[in-house]
Amino acid sequence: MISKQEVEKTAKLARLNLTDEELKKLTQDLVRVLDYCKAIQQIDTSEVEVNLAESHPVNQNRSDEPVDSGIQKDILDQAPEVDGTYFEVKEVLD
Amino acid sequence: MHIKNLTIETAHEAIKSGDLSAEQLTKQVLDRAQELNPKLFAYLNLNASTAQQRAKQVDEQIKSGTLSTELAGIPVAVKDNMTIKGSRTTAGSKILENYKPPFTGTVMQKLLDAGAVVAGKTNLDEFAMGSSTENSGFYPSRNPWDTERVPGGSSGGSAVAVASGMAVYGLGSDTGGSVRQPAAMCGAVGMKPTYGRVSRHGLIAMASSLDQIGPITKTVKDSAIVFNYINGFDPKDSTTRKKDPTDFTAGIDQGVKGLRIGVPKQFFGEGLNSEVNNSIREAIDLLSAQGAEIKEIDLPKIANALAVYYVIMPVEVSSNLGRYDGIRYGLSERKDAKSLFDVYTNSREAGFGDEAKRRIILGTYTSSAGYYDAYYKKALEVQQLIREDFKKVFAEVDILVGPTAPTTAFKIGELADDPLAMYLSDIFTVPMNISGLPAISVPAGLAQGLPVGLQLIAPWWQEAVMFRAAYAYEQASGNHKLSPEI
Repeated sequence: MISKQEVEKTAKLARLNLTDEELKKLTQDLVRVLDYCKAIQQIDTSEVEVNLAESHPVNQNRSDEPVDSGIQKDILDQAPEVDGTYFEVKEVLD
Repeated sequence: MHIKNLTIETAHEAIKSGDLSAEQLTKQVLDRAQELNPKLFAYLNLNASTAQQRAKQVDEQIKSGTLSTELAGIPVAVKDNMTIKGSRTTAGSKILENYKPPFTGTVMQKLLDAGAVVAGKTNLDEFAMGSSTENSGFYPSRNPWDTERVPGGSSGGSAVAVASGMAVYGLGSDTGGSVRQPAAMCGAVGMKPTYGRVSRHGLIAMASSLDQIGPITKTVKDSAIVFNYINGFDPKDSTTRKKDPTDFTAGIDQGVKGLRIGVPKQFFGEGLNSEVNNSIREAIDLLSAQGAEIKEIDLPKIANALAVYYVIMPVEVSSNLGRYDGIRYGLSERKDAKSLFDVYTNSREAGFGDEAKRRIILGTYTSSAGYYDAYYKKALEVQQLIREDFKKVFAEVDILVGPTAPTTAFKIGELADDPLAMYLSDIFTVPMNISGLPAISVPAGLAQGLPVGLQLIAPWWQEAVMFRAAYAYEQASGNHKLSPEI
């Protein structure tokens, strides 16, 4: 059973500010979907060693050389608040 | 020929011979798009004047001999989760409602370099999360075969555009079936490449280990043509692989004589609509009549694929959607924010729709301390077992076939209240994303007036065999000639 408090904690981790109604609905949804997904816990995977490299390519390296992207202005144009070439944010430390 | 039946092949011939100019073709397509969009809502962004200008440019390049590709001058509908520099790209979300990307993605650049004319950006479920376009932050699209019904999703807009002649072809993205399923529901051809074939650079990320861009076209040959242009290693996407260059249209008409086709018995259980079942069985019979060897095969763990997907995918979504924080781009709610934390939470609360929030919560929960082993790690292990099942089966057969979707297009609103019921719509497509296999959906006729899709699945990197089998079925059945009355 997943409690509303657990979902609230999860929402905080996910930086989501949910309304009480949303919390209630999402708790229901979470329970419903996880009930369905729980079935995989019955499968014997004791012999399985997850090998992510099998399906994903080996690391592709490139030389560490700085290059001017030429799009700094385009990037800054999309930002809500800028200070020169900096993104401006509210204070991070109290 | 009516614009809704015009293929890339035919259009290219006409342009090459001088019978048709890119400008004329673009005008025809855009006129139709402007006429039908208020009824079908395929497009989020239609910029007729930009497209016309571009078509004129392409005509000049064709005339001067500097451009002679098969895609030159042909209007394409692009799912709005693929970036084009300076052109509004929303990912179907209010959080990116006014976002103008500072760069053009690799696949888009390849098409533009080949002379493609972008007709517009099409509607999708928000961040490609959904099977109907009902999760779009803007509006749902309508199925051209019955406007009370969904076109499928998440690439619903592109599928609608192609099926109704509002574009000659389209691009979509497929993470759990989002190219194949809407193609099936709209009577078009939709294909998902092997994971690693096509660059994701410029594709707004949903689940990075599953996402792939794929073409939506009227015919299998058109699909192979587009695939020729979009596939290939990209240094900007380190999950793409270097493969020998191949012309996927060569040998496409070799037929299926002697081809071993596996029919997974798990795809024909309960949950599969009986009319869809009949259409698929007929399709398999047709393949057999064309000389293929049909064999029933077993994929014992396949029933768990959807559960595996709904653990792995939301975890990746929760990570990928973390970037939408109101700081560098996108919706930023700073007015009532007292702290930096508030900027994040207020922006995300205002900008994300229900499904996005649902999947973020799901993914954050199952990857958090205490639950990680039971859900996410377990899902990765079962994913491996599913891949092993496919490996075993492909030692005995060359291709697998089955239905693309368990039903034909459902009514708008019908599944909106039950997220799980909506998720089940992807039950036959998800295993191919989980395992990275290439798959294609082709029109398999109509069931009560609505399109049915036949899915063909090939082993990793064997798109050539997949196209060959799909082409043989298509030509024998003639179903690609069916189009909605609209």
